[in-house]
Amino acid sequence: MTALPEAFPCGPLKIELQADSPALRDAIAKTLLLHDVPWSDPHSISVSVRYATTPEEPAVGNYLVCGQMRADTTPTGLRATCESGAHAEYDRERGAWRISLPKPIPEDTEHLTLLIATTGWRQLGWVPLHAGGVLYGEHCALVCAPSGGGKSTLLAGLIRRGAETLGDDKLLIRIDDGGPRARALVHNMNLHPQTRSWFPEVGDLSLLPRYSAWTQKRKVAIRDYWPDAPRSEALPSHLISLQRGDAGTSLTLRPLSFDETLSVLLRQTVFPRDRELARSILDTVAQTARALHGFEAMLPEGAYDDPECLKTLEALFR
Amino acid sequence: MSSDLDTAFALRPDVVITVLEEGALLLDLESKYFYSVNSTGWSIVQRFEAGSSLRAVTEQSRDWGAPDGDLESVRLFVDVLRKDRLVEASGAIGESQIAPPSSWIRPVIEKHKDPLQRVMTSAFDPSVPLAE
Repeated sequence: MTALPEAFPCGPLKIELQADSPALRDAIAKTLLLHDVPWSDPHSISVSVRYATTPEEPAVGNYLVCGQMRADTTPTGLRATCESGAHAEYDRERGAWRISLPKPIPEDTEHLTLLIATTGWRQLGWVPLHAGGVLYGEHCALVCAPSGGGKSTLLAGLIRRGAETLGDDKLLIRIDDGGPRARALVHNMNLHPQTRSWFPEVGDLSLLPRYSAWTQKRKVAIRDYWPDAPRSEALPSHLISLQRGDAGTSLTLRPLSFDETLSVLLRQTVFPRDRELARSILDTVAQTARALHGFEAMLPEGAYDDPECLKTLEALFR
Repeated sequence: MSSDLDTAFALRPDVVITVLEEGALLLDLESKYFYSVNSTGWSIVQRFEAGSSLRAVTEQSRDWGAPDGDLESVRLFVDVLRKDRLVEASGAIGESQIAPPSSWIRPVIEKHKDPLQRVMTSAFDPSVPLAE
């Protein structure tokens, strides 16, 4: 028996999920539920999920190639397959996705859910940005680094000293009234248990479950530790490109040229191989870069042992 | 590369462009390399949107005020477009109305050192996938 659709907010989207079983529902919902920041007037799309009955031909990746998923453009929309055999098809005209999953339900299903979300966000004119956001009054800095590059720890260090945040690694940006606007999607942070050695208020994070088999980090609600820190939107004014420095040196800042700032931002978003979409993303990123004062922050190993190490960075916003 | 002065070339469909204050940024969606061009370079690139040749671009550059001494820089610029396959052979030279650069300077194209990721972690995260 097929259940009635259940609605999940997901940033500017409302995803009407219809699942053939509770297990299938949970497999999609667990990724959607991470996006816990409420938006007003979300746009509805429909997603149905069922168990696969026949294997699907793997996608080539002419639209997108990820570590565990490939997506192709089709005459009617998109289709994507994962290494596990999980599969999704998008009908652009109907705004509807169909997912089929093998048994047992594989972990890489989350890649299909993220494809669905990012496709919908981009269609609404939002560009997903893999960056954190930190705020001092009306100043907002986009904090950029690759995965595992220290964004979350830096943000925790700044928040506990009074900064506000849009989140540690998932933002949406769009050009409104000639300038960039950033919106929060997630008010959870991914913190390593070692964080406690610098910021004792987080407690023993190792007692929390790991959210993925591939990382030691734990997912924590920002509000649980720093209730006044979460913000839902801001106008970005700065960019911090976080780099690991040598041990024993202090935090140093170097101003970035426009080209350098643009280069950093380009590496924080995904460009699907679709000419019109890529051009739109490129326009948004370039206009955003134009509005930002960029800085490279060299953060030495062990910097957080010195509680004053972040003062140099904070001084940028005074 | 430029011995065939009259061969027509056009920008590949996989090359997308955004206009900057003084020039433009080109992103090749196939190679994932991106390139900055200055204002004169952007005017030349626009010639290739409709299809052009080295001879046509050279003559256009003279009209835009290029002295003879700068024509080698035009040839080098077009060589980069061809060598990096930002343009491909096209059937014909197209008609295009392009605003001339505000003042002539030698065209410059800078290929940024590292390309964007070809394989990424997810549809959201462009980082290199973690080894699993």
